[in-house]
Amino acid sequence: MRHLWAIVTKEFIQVIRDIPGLIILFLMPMVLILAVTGTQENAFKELYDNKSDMLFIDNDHEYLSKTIEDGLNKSGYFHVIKEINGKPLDINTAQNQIANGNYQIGIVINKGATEFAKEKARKRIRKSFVTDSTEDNSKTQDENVKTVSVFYDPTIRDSYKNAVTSSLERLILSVEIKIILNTFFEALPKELNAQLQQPIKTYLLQQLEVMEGVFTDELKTRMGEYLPADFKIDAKPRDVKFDMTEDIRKGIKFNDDLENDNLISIDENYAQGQNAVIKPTLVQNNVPVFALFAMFFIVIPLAGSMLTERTEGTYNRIRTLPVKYITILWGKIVVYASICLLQLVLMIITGMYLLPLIYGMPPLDIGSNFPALLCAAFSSAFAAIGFGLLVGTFASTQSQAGIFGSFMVLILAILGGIFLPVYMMPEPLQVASNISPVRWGIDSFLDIFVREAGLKTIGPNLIRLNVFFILSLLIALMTFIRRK
Amino acid sequence: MPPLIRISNLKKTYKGNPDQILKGVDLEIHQGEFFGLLGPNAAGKTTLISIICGLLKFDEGSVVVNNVDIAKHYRKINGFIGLIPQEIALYPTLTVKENLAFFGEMHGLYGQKLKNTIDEYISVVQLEHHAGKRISNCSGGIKRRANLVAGLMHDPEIIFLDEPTLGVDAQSMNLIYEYLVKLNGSGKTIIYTTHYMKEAENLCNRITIIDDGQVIANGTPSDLIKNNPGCTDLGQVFIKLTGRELRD
Repeated sequence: MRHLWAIVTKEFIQVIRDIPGLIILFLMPMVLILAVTGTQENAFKELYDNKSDMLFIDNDHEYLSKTIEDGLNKSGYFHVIKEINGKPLDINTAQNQIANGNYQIGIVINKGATEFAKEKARKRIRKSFVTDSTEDNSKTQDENVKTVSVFYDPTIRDSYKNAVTSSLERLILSVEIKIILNTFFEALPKELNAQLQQPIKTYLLQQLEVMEGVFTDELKTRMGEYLPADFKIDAKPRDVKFDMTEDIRKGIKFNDDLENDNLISIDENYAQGQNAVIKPTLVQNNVPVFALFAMFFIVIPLAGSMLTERTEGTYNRIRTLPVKYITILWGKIVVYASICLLQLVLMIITGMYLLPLIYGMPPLDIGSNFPALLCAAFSSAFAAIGFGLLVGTFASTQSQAGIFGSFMVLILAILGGIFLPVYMMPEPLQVASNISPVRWGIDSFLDIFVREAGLKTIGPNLIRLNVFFILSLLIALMTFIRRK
Repeated sequence: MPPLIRISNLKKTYKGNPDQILKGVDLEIHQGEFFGLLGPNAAGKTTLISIICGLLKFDEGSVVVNNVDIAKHYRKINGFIGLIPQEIALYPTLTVKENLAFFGEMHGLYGQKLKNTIDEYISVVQLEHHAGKRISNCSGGIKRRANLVAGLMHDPEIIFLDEPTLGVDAQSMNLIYEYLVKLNGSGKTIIYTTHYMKEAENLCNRITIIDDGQVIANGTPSDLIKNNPGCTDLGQVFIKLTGRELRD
């Protein structure tokens, strides 16, 4: 124990006297998280080309659900999954799968959604054309029915979620207009006043103006058949102004409330466990991600320390000491693991105080499961140290360790999902990411910070991290023995 | 009295290098000797010392140090030997005193005993005014002296010195010589390698010259000079036996 304490003291002195090294170790990760989180907050990322899995539960089996499913498939962005292991999906299974991080998005078309939307459309049309005295005040079946529910993985990036939501809204809007139009024209008397054409046209153009992106073309084509012959579909919607004479205004009542009341309402939720109370935010996601990234950069000073000993003669002197090599390594592990943990604490403080202060973001919520948090912190720190031991053992020069170590950390971090979430990566990279200790660490922290997971959930990742550390330590020891 | 170190038919080849570095070395070193191990560059001196200290495995032969078979129980001699390598084997960001404290603690010295030992060695090599300096800020002479005493903190019986005066000024060199002679006088066995022939001639009471992995001469400095007609000092003997051809 005294030997270990002497080694720890020696390593500690060496570390604290390397001021530039300390600045890099502690300040750079904080700058990184501030810069990246700030950038991500303001930038809107486009939907990526890669197809994403989307769980789809059709409880409607009518026009609405079929059109949405068709639209999702045609969009090319989503791989629609309706069953898992041969069993049709239900809401509970889908929620569990998403809450556990196996899938990122789930969409539920609730029972009676089509009929509900049609009923609302009929009501809207009636209200739009009736006078005050004949206004239909009858209620729709249930005004609170949510026609479409969407569930998101709590760890999903905001940018990705926004992109998905936006696409979904466009798709649903097109379905909504089609329902309105169908309902409207079904109800229209043959001898319809020609004056009505202009407001209908304007209404359609307003709707078109809102629609952009992947579904617009299809929508324009389908809507074309309803438009008057003199209406040019290629006209830019923004150039068309609402031009309704006072007479028409008197004859037609446009109800503003109804204009804003969508036929199809989207109910967005994060799929969470029963006790989950933490709201997923960019801060909740970024702090663990960049903390792990920073922790693994311990490889540079640790490998550097080992190589300095090897190349400057102290290694040979150490080998003549009556001390086991594992004690020497443990001395390093204690000091460098402490640095990793200190880095994590600083990152957490950054998430709790600095990010809210600078960007006005919600503060990091570390949850209440401290045993799980401690285990994840120690296991991640040990895995980072293990990686440092490996690089320090096999590198021959400082520059080799520095360059290889940095690139490897970057690769492992990319595979771990630091820049692009794993679920958005191509299949081969997703498979490769399974062997990244950075990913195991990130997943553990995300599970705690975002899913409120406990030791049981993060257990497999903790085991992976610790096995990686033990194997690294054994390899370092074996190599030491073999070098003789 | 059996030799303190007995080396028999020692052979060593490094992985990836087909040339044998040691080609059957036989050597005996007795307790209390100031033993000079000389040879040109790449002759196998450092390899031989590393094997005796248990730092390297060997292919054939046997090495026995203080009745311990190094091939089987090399760790048993760890407290018995002191290695002062050619490089400055100290931590550059630690002070002279902190380095000595670390190596002392590794050898089981603690508390007052450790403090006294550090003070004693610092005084012996006259580092009182530099004890608080970081090694990285010390001159070559100070580093060499600190490097020397760092290997002696545990008072070893056998001291291996691999070119301990490399690159130091005359004053530091003289101090090191005097101290080594004193150590040898107190009964310590010293195994000394150097490229300074005059140094070896003055300090060592027995010298072995190895070249190309083999022992080519062995004896006291005066015997070696006497046995090589035409040579008036050890330097001439060395050139005569090893040739004028550059080795690296």
